[in-house]
Amino acid sequence: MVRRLKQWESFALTELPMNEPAGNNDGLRAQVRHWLTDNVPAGWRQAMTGVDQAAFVAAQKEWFFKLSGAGFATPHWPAEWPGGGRSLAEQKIIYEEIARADAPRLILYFVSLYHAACTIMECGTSAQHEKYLPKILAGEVWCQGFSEPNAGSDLASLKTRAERKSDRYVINGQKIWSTMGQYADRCLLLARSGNSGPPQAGLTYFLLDMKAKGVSVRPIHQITGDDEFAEIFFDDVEVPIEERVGEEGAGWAVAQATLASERGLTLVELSQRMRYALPMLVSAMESSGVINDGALKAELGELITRVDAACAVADQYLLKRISGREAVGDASIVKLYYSRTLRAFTSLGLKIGGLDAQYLTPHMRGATQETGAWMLDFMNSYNWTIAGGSDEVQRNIIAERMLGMQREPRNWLFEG
Amino acid sequence: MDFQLSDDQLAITDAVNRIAQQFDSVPSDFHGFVLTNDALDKELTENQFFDIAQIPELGALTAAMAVERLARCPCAVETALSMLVLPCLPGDWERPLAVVEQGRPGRFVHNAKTLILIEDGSVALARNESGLTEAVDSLYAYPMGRLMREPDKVVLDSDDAAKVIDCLRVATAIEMAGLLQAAVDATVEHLSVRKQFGRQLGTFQALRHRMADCAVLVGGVRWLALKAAHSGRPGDAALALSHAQESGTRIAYDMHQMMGAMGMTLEMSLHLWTYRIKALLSELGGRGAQAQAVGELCFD
Repeated sequence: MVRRLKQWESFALTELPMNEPAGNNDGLRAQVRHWLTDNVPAGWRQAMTGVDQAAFVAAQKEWFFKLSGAGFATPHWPAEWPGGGRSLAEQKIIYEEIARADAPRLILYFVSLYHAACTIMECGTSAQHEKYLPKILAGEVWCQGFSEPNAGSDLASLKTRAERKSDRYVINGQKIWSTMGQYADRCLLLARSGNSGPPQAGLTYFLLDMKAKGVSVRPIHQITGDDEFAEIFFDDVEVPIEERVGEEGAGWAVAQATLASERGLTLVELSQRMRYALPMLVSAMESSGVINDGALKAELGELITRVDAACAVADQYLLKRISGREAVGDASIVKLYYSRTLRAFTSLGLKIGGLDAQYLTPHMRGATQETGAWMLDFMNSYNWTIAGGSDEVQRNIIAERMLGMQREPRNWLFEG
Repeated sequence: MDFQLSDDQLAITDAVNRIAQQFDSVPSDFHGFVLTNDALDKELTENQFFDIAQIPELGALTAAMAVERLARCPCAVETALSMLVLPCLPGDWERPLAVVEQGRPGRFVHNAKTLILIEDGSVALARNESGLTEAVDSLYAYPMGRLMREPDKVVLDSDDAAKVIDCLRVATAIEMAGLLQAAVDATVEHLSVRKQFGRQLGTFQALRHRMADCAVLVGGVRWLALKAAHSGRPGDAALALSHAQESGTRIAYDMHQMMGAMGMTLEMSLHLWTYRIKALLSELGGRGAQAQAVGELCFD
């Protein structure tokens, strides 16, 4: 079984020329692969198992500086920045190789490097460029303050207030699901500055100092034993007007720039990581003595097909972006495919793990979704069918925007 | 099955319901994985509810109904094995009971007085003496424990062993029915209260249909388990647990999806039921073993 997986890997989609339309990037691929061979921290999975968040943060910082020093943390930044100026095809190669090398994910810096940097570059003032981009490169941690307890899927209904008082805004309210919010130096904040017009019209976007007076953060304890999310409370927090991004009331458009910043690369990387983690299932079958179980083998075969399809769909999406042919709904298909496949992957791991998977296994930090602690992996897969637009929201987008079906009535209220 | 409850049965189920209602809420300061309640156990003991199945006018059906109701409480108390399995054990054994399957950790093992040991098709009983077991840290919302050494055990003959397995299947299936119902109830409440896009989530047809499908499954699990408790037939027991374990996988996932991100935190109580459901999914060999048993027991 292992041998067959290896053969299959050599015929991977990533090796097909159709995925690299920008030309021959063998040189870059070899360069990245060579660097990762020398620099991925040996035994990092074991080292990050059962450690607290502080140790995880320290390890993330170390890996960030290594990766950014080599120019592989900011390939999506403009050419004038260290490591920047890479085409989307080149960025894809870097992420594929990072997945192949099973390097730790830069979870702590994702919002900084993508959401914060891209938003500031696209919508920020030159003063904001000068002030924040070097700090991000120097390791400043950012979090996102969009979702609220009553504004999740329906983000535009958010209620955190931003009240203008001469040269500053005063913020009051609450945000939730801010990844690594408890370690963040700065927050990308979307708040309501007005109530006229449609809900999207009254939103304004800020760069908020998490050390400012009136900001308090509370980690959220998850049923997986992790606490990667936080709630943020704002109690009369003052934000200078210079920290506003875009015009007052234009926050929704700025937020779209934030959400579009990772441009499909994350799911390309995660799909590839899932593919490279497939042998983990085979090893688990061997160590559990079920390697010859016909039903599990059949399920594994089906899963391999689905993972390959998930990679193909993510690849195709990126190709469409590169060539400017992306359509509304394409991203929903990628997200839906990935979340469903991840659930199948971890579900199979759980079946292989059987009753033994019911021990409380120490949590492995920074290891994406495939850690081999099958119950934790399986429960974590639930997050992916909820976060970043739930499966239900993605299905509605596909039905309405791609198939052209009528929208659900928005004003239908349940009576009784 | 003629399912007309007698006055005695109605009185008992009402009494169990009244006790359960006292324990239906989650303590506001609880944000953990395992929630137990000795007071509920004590209340059931003092009122002799663990003896329901042995009273001829009540029987296993009434005991099963009690187990189903108590499984809907957020605190985990060992009721299913005591009410439905203890009566069929040969000899004199004390509750609480726990199952150790293939030497693996199991629910209530550390606090049990009697252990049912299942190993490669054989069934044995052992008294839980000091130092025999230890508690195991687990995500599962049951107190888990495991054996520390090989116990002195009484190996059951094949007839007794088969009877114990049948009773275990019924006990597990009806406990699952209660857990599934509690998970559905909690989710219905959430969908009825939470609004997004200006309306209650429960008004979205995509969610309503999934909830309805799950409610249908839960009903099936409950009725099959009650039928198995009533009939005492091995095939019915295998069918009941097979359907319970088949349905549990889907319902646990769907309820979390409906509950959204909050359901993934310790601040909601959904995990108390879904993690228990997950624990039951793999017991007695899981779905595969139950399907095989159905094949063997229900067809010539």
